[in-house]
Amino acid sequence: MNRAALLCLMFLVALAGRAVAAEVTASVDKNRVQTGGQIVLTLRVEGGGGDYPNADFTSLQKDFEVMSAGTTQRTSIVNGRMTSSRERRYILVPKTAGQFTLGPLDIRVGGETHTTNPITITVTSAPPPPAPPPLTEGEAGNTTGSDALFVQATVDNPHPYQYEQVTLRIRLYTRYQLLDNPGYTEPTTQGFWKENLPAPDLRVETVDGVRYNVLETMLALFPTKPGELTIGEAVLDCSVNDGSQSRDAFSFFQRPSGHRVVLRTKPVTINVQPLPPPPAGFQGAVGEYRLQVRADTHEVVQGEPVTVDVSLSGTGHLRTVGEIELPPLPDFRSYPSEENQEITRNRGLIGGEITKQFVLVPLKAGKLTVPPLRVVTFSPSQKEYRVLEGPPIELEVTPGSGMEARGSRGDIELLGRDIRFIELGDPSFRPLGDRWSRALRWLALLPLPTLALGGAWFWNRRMEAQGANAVWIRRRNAGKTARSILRAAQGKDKAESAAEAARALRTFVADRYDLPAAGLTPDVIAGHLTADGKDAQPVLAFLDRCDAVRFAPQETATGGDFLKEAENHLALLEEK
Amino acid sequence: MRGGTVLILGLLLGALSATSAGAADPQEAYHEGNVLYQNGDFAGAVAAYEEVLAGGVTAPELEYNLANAYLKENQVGKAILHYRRALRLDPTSESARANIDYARSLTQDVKPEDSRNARWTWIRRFRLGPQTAAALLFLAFTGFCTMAGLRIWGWKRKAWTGVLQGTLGGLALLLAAALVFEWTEMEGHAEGVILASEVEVHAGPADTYTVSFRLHEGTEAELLRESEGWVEIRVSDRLQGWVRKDTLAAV
Repeated sequence: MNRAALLCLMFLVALAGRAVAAEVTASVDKNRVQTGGQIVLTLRVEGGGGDYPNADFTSLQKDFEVMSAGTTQRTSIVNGRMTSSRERRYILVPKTAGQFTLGPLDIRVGGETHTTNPITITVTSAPPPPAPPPLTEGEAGNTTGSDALFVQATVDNPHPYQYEQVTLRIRLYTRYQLLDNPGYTEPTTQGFWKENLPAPDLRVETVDGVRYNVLETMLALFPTKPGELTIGEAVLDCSVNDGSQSRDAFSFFQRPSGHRVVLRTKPVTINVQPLPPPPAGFQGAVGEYRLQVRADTHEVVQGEPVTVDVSLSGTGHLRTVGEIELPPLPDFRSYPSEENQEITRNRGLIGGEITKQFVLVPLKAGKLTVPPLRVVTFSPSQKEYRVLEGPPIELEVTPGSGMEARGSRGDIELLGRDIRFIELGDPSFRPLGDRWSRALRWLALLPLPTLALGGAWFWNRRMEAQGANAVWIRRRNAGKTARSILRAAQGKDKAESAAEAARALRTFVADRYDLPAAGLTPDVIAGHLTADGKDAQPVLAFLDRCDAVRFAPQETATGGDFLKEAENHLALLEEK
Repeated sequence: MRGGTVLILGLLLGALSATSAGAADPQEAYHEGNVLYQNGDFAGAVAAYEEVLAGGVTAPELEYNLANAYLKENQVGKAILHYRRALRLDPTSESARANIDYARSLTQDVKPEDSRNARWTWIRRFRLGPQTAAALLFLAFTGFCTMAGLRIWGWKRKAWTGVLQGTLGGLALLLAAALVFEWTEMEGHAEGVILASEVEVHAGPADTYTVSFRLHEGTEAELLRESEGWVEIRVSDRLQGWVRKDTLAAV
């Protein structure tokens, strides 16, 4: 039947309906039901103008929960006579046991009100809940719901240690068809660290010979404190098809509406055991772990890096492990890397691996040992602390060039740009506009080396000229030579002093006039002194007196200080 | 002879003593500016540094710090002006060079290549500054004279003395040339920095002349001549014109 024909048929039905007076009936699918069960109430209109029946259920809501369950329209042609009917269904869930009467109900159809016959319903008490599926060993939990649809909340370990994993499983058992994924509200888990676990696939379980579809969700919980902790209720909001909905030839126009069931688990209480008194070095790692430590080489040049890889893997919450650190290494410079954590969720257990690298640079040559790395953990299965210990790392370090490794090389990343900072030292101020005075001061000094050079040249020339004349040098040193004789005569007696004074004067005259010192007669002396413009007489007289004292000691009473007198004569002779 | 020595010593002492200039107040204001700068009060630092300048003295460090403070106050034009002044006083300042490059990157105008300016770009990297060049010239010349004196005094037979004397003489000549370059750089042409946020550059020294182009704060230009409140500037080979004198400041 194509759509056009169907629409024509419906039009005809509608026309026919107007011609026939509406007849309204009310019926239930069963008159006995258990508490928690449900009754389908159907209001049916035969004929009429095509309107659906409506009823006021205020009087019923005291004893029943009333939920709409959809509408249906039916058309039939019998012996050429076309009839139509329209139904509206309601699900009634009795709240208590007892005998109840539905109606008479006032049904409104197209502005007219019809009254139905009363219907008697007997509600019996529900049987005890179905035997819960057997819990596996060590599990604890509870079950709520009916025999066809119930929920079970269990924990795998009701007496865990602090920080030991407790797996909470919420399982939904249903014999009904689930029309949609149940709405799930997680339980409150105050006092736990919480990690989601992957949900198992939908499976079928047989409980007491009855097959159920089982939906399960899991949560890994880690109690953070000892004592009683409670996992709150989880809520499952299910929409199920329990088979109460009738189907007809035109039901493909309708979407199955089913009915809604809200299930709540009961809170689960667990008793968390405190950890035993911890040994030194325990940072809180609870779980089943193993430690691996290895170096990338065992022979290295001093100053070159050695990489030590540390891996701690197993089950447990990695957050409890704490910092992995090498023991103090005075012979190495240590550069630890960032820790890398990879969390796994295998078979409902939270675990994973912590990896960390240490780059060690040996500071001296020789056989060096990296002591074992230790991690203290608590093993819930063994109920004791365990010290995980890596192997000691022996290194043969050969002397290097002294250059120390400084980590991997790379371009320096410029993180920001700004001006350089101000100068803080004491400046040397100068007048504004004065840019050259300091330079000019240096330039003003330039004549100095020039003058010095000129002076040196001049002096050198003079000395060269003078050095070539031995007579001149003898003459120049005449006074110096004579005076040295006089100084040497200091402290001698008068006769010796007179002799030395005479010798000094004669030496002076000989040097001054380039004469041989031996055989210098008074006439020669007089001749040269006179020729030089000197008065020779006092000198000759002094020389006579000296000779007299020298050769006639009786004269020693007179004569005075010959050395001083000789000095005076020298001064007179040196005068120009 | 003795009198001449005394005169030379007197000149030397006078030259050395004249290098110590400045009074206590400029130092005080300068350090106060430094403290304000370090505390992030850049406007206060500008005021303190400007107070030192108002006292009629300057120093490369002062100009540099003042430029920094202006830059922190987002006054790019004044910052570049004072960096230029700092570099004019001390062309060897690495920090001033780095900061003026940064300040130039903040200006709106990208200065076109100027052939006249580019001619000596390479040699500017080796500038010593007049004071250093003069001091080195003095030392090189003194060394040259010393070697000459030693050779006069009998070291003539040692060949290396001749090589050293020639080297020192050549070095002295180079340093003399460097001093001449410093002179032409510092005194040969005037330069200025635009301080107004935007300046119209006219074809002649009046508003009635055509506006040839516009310049913005921080752009540097050569100052060519001045006429009744207007200055002729040259930015590059093609960009030349007149601006009001109060829109720029001479370095």
